[in-house]
Amino acid sequence: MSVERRERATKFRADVYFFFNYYFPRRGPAAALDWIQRPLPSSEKGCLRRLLIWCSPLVDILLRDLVLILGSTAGGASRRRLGEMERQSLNRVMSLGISDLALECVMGYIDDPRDREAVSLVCRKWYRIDAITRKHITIAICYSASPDRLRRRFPRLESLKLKGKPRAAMFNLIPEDWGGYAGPWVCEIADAFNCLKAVHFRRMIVQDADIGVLVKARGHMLQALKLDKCSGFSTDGLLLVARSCRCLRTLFLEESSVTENDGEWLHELAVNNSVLETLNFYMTELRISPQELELLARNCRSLISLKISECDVSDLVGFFRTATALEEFGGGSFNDQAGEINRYERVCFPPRLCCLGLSYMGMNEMHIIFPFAASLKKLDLQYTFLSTEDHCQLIQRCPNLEILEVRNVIGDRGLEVVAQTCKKLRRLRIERGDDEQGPEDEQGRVSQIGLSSLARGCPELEYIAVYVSDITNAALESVGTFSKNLCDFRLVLLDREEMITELPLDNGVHALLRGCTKLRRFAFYLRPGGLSDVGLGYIGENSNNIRWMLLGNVGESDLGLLQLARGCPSLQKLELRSCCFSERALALAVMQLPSLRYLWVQGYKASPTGKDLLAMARPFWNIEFIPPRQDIGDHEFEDRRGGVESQAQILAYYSLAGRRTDCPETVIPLYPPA
Amino acid sequence: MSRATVELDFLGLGKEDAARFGPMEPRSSVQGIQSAISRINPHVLRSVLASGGGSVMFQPPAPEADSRRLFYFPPPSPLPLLSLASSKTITETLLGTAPLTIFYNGTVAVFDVAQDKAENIIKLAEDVNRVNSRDIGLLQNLNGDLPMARKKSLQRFLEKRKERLTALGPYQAVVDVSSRKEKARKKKTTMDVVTASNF
Repeated sequence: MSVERRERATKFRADVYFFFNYYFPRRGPAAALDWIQRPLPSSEKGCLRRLLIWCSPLVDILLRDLVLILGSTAGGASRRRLGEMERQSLNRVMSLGISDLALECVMGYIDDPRDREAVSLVCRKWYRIDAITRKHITIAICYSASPDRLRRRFPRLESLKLKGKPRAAMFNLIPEDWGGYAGPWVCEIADAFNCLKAVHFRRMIVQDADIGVLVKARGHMLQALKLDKCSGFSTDGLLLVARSCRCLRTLFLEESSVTENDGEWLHELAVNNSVLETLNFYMTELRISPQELELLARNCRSLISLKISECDVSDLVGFFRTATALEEFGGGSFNDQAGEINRYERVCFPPRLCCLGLSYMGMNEMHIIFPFAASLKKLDLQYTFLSTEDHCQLIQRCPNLEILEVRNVIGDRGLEVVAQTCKKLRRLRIERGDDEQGPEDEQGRVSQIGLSSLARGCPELEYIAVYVSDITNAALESVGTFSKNLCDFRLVLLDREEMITELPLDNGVHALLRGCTKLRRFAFYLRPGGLSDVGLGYIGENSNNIRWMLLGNVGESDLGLLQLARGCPSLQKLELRSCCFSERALALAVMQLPSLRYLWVQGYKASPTGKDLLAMARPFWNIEFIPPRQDIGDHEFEDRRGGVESQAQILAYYSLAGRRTDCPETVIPLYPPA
Repeated sequence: MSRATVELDFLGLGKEDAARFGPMEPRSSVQGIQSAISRINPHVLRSVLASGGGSVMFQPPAPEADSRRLFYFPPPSPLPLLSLASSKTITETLLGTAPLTIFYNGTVAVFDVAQDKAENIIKLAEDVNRVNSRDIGLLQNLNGDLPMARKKSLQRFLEKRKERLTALGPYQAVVDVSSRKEKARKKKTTMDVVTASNF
């Protein structure tokens, strides 16, 4: 569909033909074999080489054929003198002379979806073989294809991941009934996908009935079920899963809205399953009892990861004692107001525990982590009650930390400790805490100082997400200079401070993007004046590998957006919020961005009828519009918040399934027409 | 004094607005001001002119006036709030507000504002002149840019934290855990778009 894809496929095809028609005949079989067997440098993503490496035992046969046909004389010209038999052999060679069965085996080793995409575009035969050997598919928006189409193309799928609602749903910006119903997909799975072992629904609406259909058809084989930030089901559905899925290794329900009907499901799970490895109902309101957890630990000896809803940690002593294989724990709660002083002293964590996140933990309980803090690889402090000083105290004991998640209460001081201590840090997330500074939040601000220290101190960083209260260009330049492994960078400038040390951030973002060449995801959420049109141009020019971008409050005018759109060659998914662009500019930008397949916008200059959006109408491009909520009651001009147009949303995405048929009232499909 | 002479268009405000400010602004930042101007009370204007108060002068356009500045503010010299003093007797009985006349770049605008609001406007004018020309954010922020949305999970956590802190009052009995959960669940279902955050 996109220019880039076609180019990749053409290149791949060209590589195949070049190798067999030119390189190999000229250099001879020995050199060719040698080239195939050379170790693949880590940077090279050559699909052809990978393919040939895996089929090198068969290439011997292949090469012998080639020697016969093409000989040591020049390649192309001699083909014309070939007889019938030779021509048949040549055809065989042109499809690499490998039988279908062999090619199936070989392709099974190619996992990367982009490689697979290239492979499937070579020729029809390869397309077919890719289709029946593809093991996993992720559909980034479930309305981009119909379940039926998925079944027709990939009948032997073993693992499926579907995403429904736009990402903004995680921020309460999408109506609950927007859509993303799992029902149609579950029906198709039950009907046709006989090899499916793993299902992952993210931000979708899943009903108990859907779960029923799923487990009835696939329960005996299901190894992984993830209902990730989903809604629409209850503990009755979980009960069905617990009773029917005895091979389940992973049950993941994080942040889903589950209606509580009773607590039997956990008991049933503990009783019916003995192979469970991962159980996650973190950030849910499910009620469980510690005894059931202990039973689970007794029956499932391979339980490695458990993340739960609220349950007092002092009640989990029995569980921790039993779950000896546990490596990851999250959730629980601490309640130290009951007056018992040493309530948590008895808690003794399992020996292999290296990933931890304890909810509501305060300064008085923090020390129970100290004995094994040095072996911690992952620490989640986002839901704790720790102050800046507490963070410093704890983190300085964790030199092996690879993943850290905190709120901005960590402050610049805490980040300094991180920079000095956590040299192996790969991922850091600093979330937005309470805006009103409570007594423990006095130093709870992250600024350019912390960010610069971090960049200098932690060179292994691959992922940084941070809410800052202040920023400078120099801090961004530091990141560009030192964080060479960065793949994902997200910065949000909080709106509490009136004056920011240095704006606009044009030069900083320029240096950042030029320095961090591996960047694939980028979010930059500022305030008016934070980035000029020139800055947007810099982003466009220097984001060769970036596939996802979220931009907020950037640019000064439509020109900026158009300059952005002139670049960003790999941009597939674009989210814009609170910018000043007109519909016309948005439409133009969409038409220019070569790889764009998904657009979400909220906060733009809406025209009264939305008609300018239709400038981006094109085949297979769905355009949906959530109109602004009409404010009842007129406001005087001092109503500064949300003029009517600021609530409107645009969602546009490529789809082979045509117009949505299950839109709620709040969503209006603009294109394709009905 | 005839009524006919004191029309809004006498000052050419309507035409000048459209000509000067219509096509230029990329944002709706002056809509508020413009709508206020359109609501100038001709009665007040008439009384100002009648009392002879307020130098209804047309100042020549200030050379350094930034054409992108879309606000009626005089050059950085003390504001000639002559109209305030003179018209006080006439209009202060009305609403506790007094007319504020602003001369800028050859145009005149009159607003009915309360004392403290007037002080705010003057302060704003002083601040604006000090501010970096790029920092138009200060003023544009007033105009209803989307509030920052917060992640659901953190929103819930912060609400629960607030609950816990209030529940820890010295005279309160130990809070029943399940009822607290009940409250927390109820709170979760309200979609608080105003404090909803985006990242």
